[in-house]
Amino acid sequence: MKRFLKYSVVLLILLSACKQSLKLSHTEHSHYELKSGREDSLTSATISPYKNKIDAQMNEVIAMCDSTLTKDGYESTLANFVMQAMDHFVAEKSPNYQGKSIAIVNRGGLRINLPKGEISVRTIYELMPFDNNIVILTISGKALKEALVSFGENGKLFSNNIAFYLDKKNPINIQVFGKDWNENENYIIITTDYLANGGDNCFFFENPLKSESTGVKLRDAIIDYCKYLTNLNKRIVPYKNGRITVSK
Amino acid sequence: MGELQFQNRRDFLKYFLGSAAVLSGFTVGANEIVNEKKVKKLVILYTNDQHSRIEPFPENDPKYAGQGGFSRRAAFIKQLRKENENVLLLDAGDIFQGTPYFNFYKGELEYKLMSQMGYDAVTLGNHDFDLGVENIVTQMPHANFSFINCNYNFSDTALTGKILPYKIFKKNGIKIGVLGVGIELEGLVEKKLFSSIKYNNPLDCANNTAHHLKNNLQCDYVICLSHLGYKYDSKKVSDIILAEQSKNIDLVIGGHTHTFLNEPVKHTNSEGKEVLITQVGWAGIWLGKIELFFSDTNKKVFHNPNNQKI
Repeated sequence: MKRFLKYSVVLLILLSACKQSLKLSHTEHSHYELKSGREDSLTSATISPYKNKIDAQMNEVIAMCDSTLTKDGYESTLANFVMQAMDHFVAEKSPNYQGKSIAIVNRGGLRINLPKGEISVRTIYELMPFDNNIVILTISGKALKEALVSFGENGKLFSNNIAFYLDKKNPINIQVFGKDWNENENYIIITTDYLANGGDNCFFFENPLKSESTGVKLRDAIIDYCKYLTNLNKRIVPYKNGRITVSK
Repeated sequence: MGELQFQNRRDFLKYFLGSAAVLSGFTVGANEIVNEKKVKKLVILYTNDQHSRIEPFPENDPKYAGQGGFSRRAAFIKQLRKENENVLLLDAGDIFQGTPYFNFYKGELEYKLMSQMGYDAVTLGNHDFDLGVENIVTQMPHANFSFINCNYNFSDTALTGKILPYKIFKKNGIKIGVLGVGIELEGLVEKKLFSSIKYNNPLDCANNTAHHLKNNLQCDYVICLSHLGYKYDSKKVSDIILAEQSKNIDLVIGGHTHTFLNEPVKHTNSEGKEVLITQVGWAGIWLGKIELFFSDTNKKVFHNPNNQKI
């Protein structure tokens, strides 16, 4: 009996410990960089019919690119290329706005760097996977200024056809097509419905003076522009024109 | 009444722990206690921001040429499952969007392949809403894993009843609670796509859920799948803010900011306890692995009575 009591004490300790029976002693961590290694046959077999159905369309080479375009910096070679495609779209489809429209795209919307060499339809899908449509907005000079202020603050947007100086992130000396920005003037913006609807916190686009939808996806406009360049025997060439200068 | 006789303490423990297991639903069997296997191990594998990268990056990609791919990951996971009995496979959101596979098949293939790989649970990222709430519902039949989020209110949407606030996984007697939190969709996703999902404060929701998991449901370990993002220059809520203001969360598996963390980063929570934050970039370029080793404190009483950790 004495022994039973002795064990009962142990039992009590045990039961009280049962509530939190497991104690984390330590953790170990690592990660695998999936650069090589064999492939799983079941997974490959599942992918195969999906892949085969789209490969012919996706593998079509539509342009050649001279060197890698990236989205680094306030003015980037990648965004400049995309905005050239948007300018081309305006020239072809809305020529009344040609030479007047400012293209605006967001950094987060450009998903890969454009590689050097062959550019296929797949590359452009990966650059611009979103099914965003091009829209043409008319906005006030004030709203345009707000867009540039936001640009200065977070660098989320890219624009073309506007030159300015970022004085401690604040845009000054703003020139649109070489003319001084005017608060009382209205401006034509070519952008995506995503941004026009306030995406990426583009609140300044939410109440435009006028909004025209085009029904054309930005991705398709880029694909068209690639084919257009190739038809002219031109290659994609990185360029910057230094329209944005920044204080130190 | 015959007095119970025990040859030694070991027999006694065997007897009473067996009873305790029956009485309280205590999951550790007597045999496990008696054998010398003191440590219980669980392997957590994870991804985030897969972005429909079904195939490896093309060979001309300037940064990630030839890297990633579901098939290679699947082979790796199969191998790891052979070596480890207890595996939990998780994802922190943005499974969708980024390659033509999503444009053409709307996420069907991603969910199918992840189901084949044996994913246990995922949370929702902003890009998972890129074809709307309805599309997630449409693709869900291809997924045999759980969708977890506790800070979106889906009650006025087609996803109502299809997303769990948390889920408990029992592996090798270890009780793991998994909860999920998502980023504010307003301003990030077009309104018509996320319809009337209501966003609640992820810190409050995560803490309330984690409290429930740890204290009411007695989980041994609590994991938060987060699509908030690792950190920001602004005061925007991030995994770091979440970890530092949390209680009862042991590990945050993050996403959204595509951050490659070489190893989990240690932070101190609001009670002074350690929380780990991890994230493995994006596109399935890396597969994360965290191994948890648990010791059974009961066994320590038995095996090392003079060397208990309290």
